Amino acid sequence: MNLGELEKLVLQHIWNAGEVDAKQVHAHFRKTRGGTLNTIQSTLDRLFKKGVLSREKQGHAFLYQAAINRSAFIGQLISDITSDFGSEKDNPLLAAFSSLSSELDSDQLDELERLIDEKRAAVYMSTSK
Amino acid sequence: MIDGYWGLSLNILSIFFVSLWISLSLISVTTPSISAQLIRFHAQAKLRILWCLVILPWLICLASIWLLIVPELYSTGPAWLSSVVHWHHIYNFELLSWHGASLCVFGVIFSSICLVKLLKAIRANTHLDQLDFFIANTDRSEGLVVIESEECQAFTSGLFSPRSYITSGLQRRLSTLEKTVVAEHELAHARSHDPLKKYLFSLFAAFFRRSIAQQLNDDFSLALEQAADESVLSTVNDGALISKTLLKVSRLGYRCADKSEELINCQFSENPLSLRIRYLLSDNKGQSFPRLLCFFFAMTVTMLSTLSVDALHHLLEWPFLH
Repeated sequence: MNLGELEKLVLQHIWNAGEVDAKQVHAHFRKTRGGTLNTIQSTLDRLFKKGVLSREKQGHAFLYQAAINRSAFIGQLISDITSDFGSEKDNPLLAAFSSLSSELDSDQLDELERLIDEKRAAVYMSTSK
Repeated sequence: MIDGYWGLSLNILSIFFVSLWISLSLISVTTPSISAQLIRFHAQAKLRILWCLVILPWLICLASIWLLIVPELYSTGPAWLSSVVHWHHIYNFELLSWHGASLCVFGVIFSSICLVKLLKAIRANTHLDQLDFFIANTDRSEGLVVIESEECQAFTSGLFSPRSYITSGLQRRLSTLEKTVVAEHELAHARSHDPLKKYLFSLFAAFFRRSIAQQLNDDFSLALEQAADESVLSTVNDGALISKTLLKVSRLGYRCADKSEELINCQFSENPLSLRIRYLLSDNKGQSFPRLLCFFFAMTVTMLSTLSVDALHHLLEWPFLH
């Protein structure tokens, strides 16, 4: 998911503040960043359409809150960055410690474990002689 | 008809693209057997062989241009050379001919490959920037940025300033020694700018047929991982510990991703994880870079490719309007 600069700031603010309406978000950013209420309203609307925020009508205004918590969102970002590793859609800018695309079944993993133990035992035997 | 230096430039471009296509085809034929032999080599030697394979077509293009153009331009060099390889009408380029058509086709393919690769890099960078924004001011552990997440991942990314990350979920499940192994591995990737190398390699590989490109990218990724593993080995000096850590992180990765270990299967002997562990445990890491063999291979392909450019030129002149 691609978020713009203001979208990231607004999402971050909503994670900290909880449920807010457009006026409250505008008041928060007016001092630090400036911008009009319209800009904030359309940013909130875009975040809602992207599925990151949920909203509820209260009188004439919408009350927004995060539809996905911070930890889950970061988990999703990590998946976006790492999930294609090793596949045809390989992320060319990534080097991961272990690749999920190269999965083995548990018997094969056990076989590798046994191989490592054998090697360790052989090294131990040769050093203890 | 385009004459003069514009004609010369378009002819050079035409030779470049035809030569590129022929050399890519020739190298593609040999790639599966070379790939199968890579297991015999040291990780650094593998990397050099793979770089040679993907860069060679571009060097051959330059050699072909030199061999085909220079004798025509300056009437120098041995007479036998210009009788074997030559390019007629070096200063004239007819747009409505097979030269014009092939130039257009190659131009479109070339630009689309570059564009797709550029967009991929931008997308990957955007994801990383986003991650950096949301994890700003987080802790660092052994040089790695710690991401507060239950995922079990450690990775290095970033084109020009590579950064290494570890999730807190993975960190919690590892012992101090295992954390050192993971950190050293990722920092080795960052130190040698592996994401940038991987990107450039994938850019060169993208000009090959899709299956060959995939094979080359897989081999390169594996060689990079093995080189990073080897770098850890020089610090930790315990291949078994690194292998155990690799296995543990893989198992944790399956669990975190909620994937059943039983459902997924692939050929054990050719699996990257299995190959990495066997490489780490082996006392003999393999042969060094075969310079002489690579030199003869490069010379043979260059000769065949340049001769084919000339032959193709003459062959197409026969049925088509020149």
